[in-house]
Amino acid sequence: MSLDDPRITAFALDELPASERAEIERFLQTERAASDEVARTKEFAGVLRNTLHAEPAEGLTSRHREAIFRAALAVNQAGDLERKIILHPALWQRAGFWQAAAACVICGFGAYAITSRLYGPAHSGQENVVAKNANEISVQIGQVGKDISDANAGDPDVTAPANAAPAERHSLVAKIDVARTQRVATSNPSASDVPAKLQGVPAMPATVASAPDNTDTIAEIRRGASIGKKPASTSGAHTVVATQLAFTKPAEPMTLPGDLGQVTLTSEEAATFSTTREYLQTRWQEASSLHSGDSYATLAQHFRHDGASTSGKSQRFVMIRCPLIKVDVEFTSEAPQKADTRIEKISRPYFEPEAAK
Amino acid sequence: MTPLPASDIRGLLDRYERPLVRYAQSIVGDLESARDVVQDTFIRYVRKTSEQEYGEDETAMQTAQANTDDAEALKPAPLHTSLDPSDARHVEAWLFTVTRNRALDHVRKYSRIIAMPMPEERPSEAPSPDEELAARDSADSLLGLLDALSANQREVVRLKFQNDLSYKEIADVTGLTVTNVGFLLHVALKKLRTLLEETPLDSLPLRNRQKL
Repeated sequence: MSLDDPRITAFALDELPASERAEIERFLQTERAASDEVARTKEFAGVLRNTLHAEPAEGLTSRHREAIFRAALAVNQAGDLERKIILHPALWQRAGFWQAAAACVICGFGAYAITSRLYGPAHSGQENVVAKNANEISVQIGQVGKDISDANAGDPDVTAPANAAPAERHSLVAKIDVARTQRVATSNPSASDVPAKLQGVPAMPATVASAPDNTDTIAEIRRGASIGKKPASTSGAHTVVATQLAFTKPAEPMTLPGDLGQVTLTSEEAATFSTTREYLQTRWQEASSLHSGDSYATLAQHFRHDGASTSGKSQRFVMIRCPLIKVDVEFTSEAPQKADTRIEKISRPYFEPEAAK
Repeated sequence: MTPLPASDIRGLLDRYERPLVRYAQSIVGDLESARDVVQDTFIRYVRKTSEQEYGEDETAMQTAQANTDDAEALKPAPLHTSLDPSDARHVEAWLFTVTRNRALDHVRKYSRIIAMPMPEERPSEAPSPDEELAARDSADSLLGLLDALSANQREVVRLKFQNDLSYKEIADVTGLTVTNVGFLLHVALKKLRTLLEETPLDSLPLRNRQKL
């Protein structure tokens, strides 16, 4: 063994397997130069470690972190949906499908009729979703956290939020958060007689498209689905079971102070006011986070070229997520820019109406 | 595996974002690209922990490796195992491996583009006051000596002494064998020590850190 053996370095760094340590230790006992070499290597490794640890290290920007959290949120939502939807053989291949389909058609028409009488055309959008999708299975509403199969024994009355006034309970829109689903073969015909109620008030029919591979459809319905009357008959059907409900209260009109008096927003305007403001604020912050020295790739995450202004060093960009926001950018080189072309100058973001289509 | 809660991701970011950005920067050369690489790594991580991606990295890395002809160049490493978020060392090795491979992807993608240095990055003939100050700093000068190492040697030195990875973990991250890693470190340390003995620290110029 020579002094230039990599195993001596590995020994000094505590990286040598136990099986080889004994041989090196014997060598060190006989070779003074080798033990000196180990000592010098240890000392130098310590200096190197301290030096490299002390080297400044930059972190991510808030924009990068936000992108990661957005991805995590999207993954979580997708994961939720994946767990919520029954991923089994195609619907028409399942036992009892045709009976269930027949029940759903009957239920759908029945529910549509009831809903039309109770609520009028205000909920027609939801019913359109129901009507145009042929592959539907009913959602049975149980008590929160309670399996629908248990609900067969009693009245699966859905509890409204405690702060909801009795007069407005009937107008509450329930968002169905299908937190847990399972296949349930409801063999108890008597269950069909149990109506789902919202604090005693018959509620909207609820249906969820049975398209496990179409998460957009599911997500859309999750956002807007209403709770409702239990299907007239589900004997032998495979159903999705919703066990958690989240309620939202319809927005109320809002008044805002103005110089010449208060301005009133309709309930529809009020509903979008806060979310729009928050959305715009976030976009504005994103636009304002770009600076000279950032790459074109960074800019392109938020902005695209505004129309034909793609030549030269100076170009106008429009925000992808909010086309009303624009910035003027000057690059270090002529177009077309590469991903790592740098921004030399960038204006403050500004609002400009979109060109008429 | 279940998706990670936001608090776990925040904890991971707090723990690893700076080492990973520094590591990525040592490969891609500029900070902003390094941040993009690390952002991509973490996004892949959150997707991987919820089993949204299967084998993509491995396939991409093997393809990339097959396309890399330069023996001196750093090569992407295959991901030998699936990710186990409950094992901290495993997570660390996974993050470094993916960061490394994404950084090499970035380098390969933009290798034909000569980046235009920003005004503040343009080299100057005369040392700036900051450089003069830094040149007196022996620690900085030692960092400058790393320039004399090959890319492979520099990388294993950083992984070992800056990120405290073991030979085995470095082998996993880089795709080298443990024996290769040991040899590279042995040669690198010898070379650095020789340079240090031959060159007074105070006389060393400040090197371009982005190449370290």
